[in-house]
Parts: sequence; C-alpha cells; structure tokens
Amino acid sequence: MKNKSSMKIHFRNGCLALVLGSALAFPAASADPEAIVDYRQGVMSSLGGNTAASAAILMDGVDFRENLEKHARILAEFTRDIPALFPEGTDVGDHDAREAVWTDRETFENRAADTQEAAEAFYAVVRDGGSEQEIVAAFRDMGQSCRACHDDFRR
Amino acid sequence: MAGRRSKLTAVAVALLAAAATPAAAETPGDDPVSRGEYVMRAGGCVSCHTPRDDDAELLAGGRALETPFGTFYGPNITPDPEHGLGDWTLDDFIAAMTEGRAPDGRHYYPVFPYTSYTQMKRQDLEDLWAYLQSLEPVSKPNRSHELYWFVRWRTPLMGWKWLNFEPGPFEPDPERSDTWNRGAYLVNALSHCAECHTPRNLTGGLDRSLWLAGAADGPEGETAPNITPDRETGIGRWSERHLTRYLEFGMTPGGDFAGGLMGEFVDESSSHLTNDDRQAIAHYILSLDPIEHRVE
Repeated sequence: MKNKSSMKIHFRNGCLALVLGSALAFPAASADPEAIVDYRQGVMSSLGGNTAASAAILMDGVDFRENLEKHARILAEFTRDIPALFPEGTDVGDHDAREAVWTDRETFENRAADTQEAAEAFYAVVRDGGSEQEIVAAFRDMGQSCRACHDDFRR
Repeated sequence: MAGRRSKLTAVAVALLAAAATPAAAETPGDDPVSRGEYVMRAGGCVSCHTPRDDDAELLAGGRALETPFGTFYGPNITPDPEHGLGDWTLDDFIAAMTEGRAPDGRHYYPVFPYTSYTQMKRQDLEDLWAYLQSLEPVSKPNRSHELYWFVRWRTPLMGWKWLNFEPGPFEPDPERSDTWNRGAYLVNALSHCAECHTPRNLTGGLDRSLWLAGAADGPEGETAPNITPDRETGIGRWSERHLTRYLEFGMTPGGDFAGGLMGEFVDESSSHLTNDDRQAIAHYILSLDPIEHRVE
C-alpha cells in the first residue's frame, strides 16, 4: 500500500512538474508575435548602441578604449541571432522591416550571415590586438554589411 | 598619452575616410573631367541614371523611380548618339539642367530635379558636361515612363512650371560664411536634398513652408525624414560631427545605418565628397530654422 501511495504521490508530483514546466516553457516557445518584435527591436538597439560606442572610441578617441573588446564581443554574439529574430508571423505591429525579409528569405539570410561574419572579424581583430588600421578597416566592413542589409530589408 | 591618442585617432579617421571613399572622386581635381566627376557625385546622378543591379553600366539609364504619379525610368546620359546625349550641345545640356527643357522643346517632368539644378554654377555645369562626354557611349535604349493617365500629356507641365518652378542661379548670402554658402549650394542646388525631404503639394510642387521637414511619400515609396534641426521631429539632437560622419559613413549617432535611397546616396554621392564639403552641408543644415513636422 505504501508503495502504491508513494507511486501516486510521485505520479502527481511528476504531472505537476510537467504542467508547470510546460507553463514556464510555453511563453517563450509561442510568444505573442508583437513581443518577438519588441525583443528584436531591443537587440537591434543594442547592436546600434554598441556600434555607436565603438565609433566613439575608434573615431573620436573617447577614454573607454578598454571597453572596445566588450562592445565588439556583444556585436559578434547578437548578430548571430539576426535571422531567428524574424520568424514567420512577425511582420506585425510597428516595425521597420520590409516584407522582403520574409518573401526573399535566402537573400536576407545571406546578408545577415555577411554581417555576422563581419562582426566576428571585428571582434577577432580587437580581441587579438590587431593594429589600429586593421581594427578600423574591420569596423568599416561591419558597417558596410549593416548598410547592405538595410538597403533592401529595412524601411 | 593624450598626444598619442590624438595621433591614433587622426590616423583612424584618415584611414576610415580613405577606406570609405574611392580615390577617383575624393578631390575635385584640376581638369574639367575630374571636376565634372565630382559634380556628378555631388549631384547624385547615379541614383536615377543607373539601376541597382551589380552589372548595370554607369549612367546608361533604366533605373525605375516609383512616384505617386507613376514609374519614371532614368534615361541614358552616356554620349551614345542614338540613345544618350551624343547629339546634344553644351547649350542643350544647360537648358535641360536649368530650364527643364529638352532640345526638341518638350518640358521635362520635375522628377528630373531641374528645379534644384537651375541654381548650379555655370562652371559646374560645364565640368559635368565634360565628364559626361568623356564616358564610353553605351548603346542602351531608353525605357518609356509608365505614368497615370492624368500626367501623360506634357503640355500642362508649362503651367506646372509657372506654379512651382523658380529658375535662376544660386545667390550666396554675403552675411554668411563661405562654409555656410558652400553648404547651401550643395544642399539646395547640387545634391537637391529638398526633392526628397520636402513634402509636395497637390500639383507635385515642393511645399516651401515645410522645406526639408520630411515627406511621407518620397520616391520609391520611402519615407524621407525631417532633416531640419527640430529636436523632437528632426535632427536637432545631432551635432555637425554626427551629420558629417553620417554623410561619410551612413551611421547615425545611435549606431544605426542608412539603407534604401539614403544608403545609396551615401554610397554613390556623399561618401565621395571631400570632408570639407560634408562639413559644409552639416553646418548649413543645422543652421536652418527647426520645423516641427513629424513624418510617419
């Protein structure tokens, strides 16, 4: 009897855990599309902020040079997510993405991959102590890849 | 240490400028052809006369420009005698640029911004002509515009001009600095910024009360933002340094990058200018009266 009762308790707790686990996992898996838009706009703002900060360090010589590697690392990490930030069904609400993001997915993903590669290269050259010339060139390449993507995929 | 940092920054800026701008048109140069190439870049000719395809031939026409009046196709302006400007004279060219009139007397649609080019200096027009004549002729036929019925007939353009066109050269303001006047000339004549950034009235003329205050229905269906120094609806929070850099690199103060037509303008036009000219543009634009006009 004891075993049967214990099994019942385990079974009930197991079900409860499963339900709670599902409830916790559910919002992330099928979030409101507008919430996904909010998230991607946050990430894009972060990319912009870290780019602006890098430019201030590299081009205006502000006294935060030691932070450049952090900015470059964040750019490299968040650009990896770009295609995933634009899943089907998120052409909703107030956003600047063009329809082509979803109708010309292959080109969009290629451009996003170019940006990611350029951001990784920028991070690598900063992390590995590249010359000023190499760092600035890599930063410029990353900016051009951002612009190339915005040309066709952002209003 | 501070000195070394300044040197590094100076090197970085110089490198960035060198990397972002093709050497060919970076400085106006001494001969009419290279000066004309600089004028061509400042005038933004590529954006209307060259399609965006990678293999498109420079200035050979065929670029579609969607407007509320239909789709216009930029013509071939290489020296091809059949399809381009090969049979034109300098006077024909100057009449087209400053009066909006074709050699056969037809009036041009104002999508060709003669409304701004009318202010160009004679020397710049002659240099631009010399440059265009130096190009390899491209035998590429022009494509007919696809317009709504109510604008297909060109004769009413005479009335349009009477209403909306003020011919005449740029008049410098003697009370202002050389930098300000150079910026005014670049913004209002050569780079014709108002043609996209000023809303149009019902007849398609520029609404002068909202000069550079942004247009919701710009070319190719794009929104052209308010570029007056209004702090809330324009670029009043930008410094001259921000705007100069934006024209060189396409990057906003917030680290965003221009795309679409403005990105193309940066690529094909403003990044090719000298830094002094970019600074002059920034200096002039940020000296304007702010206009509160939100463009959505």
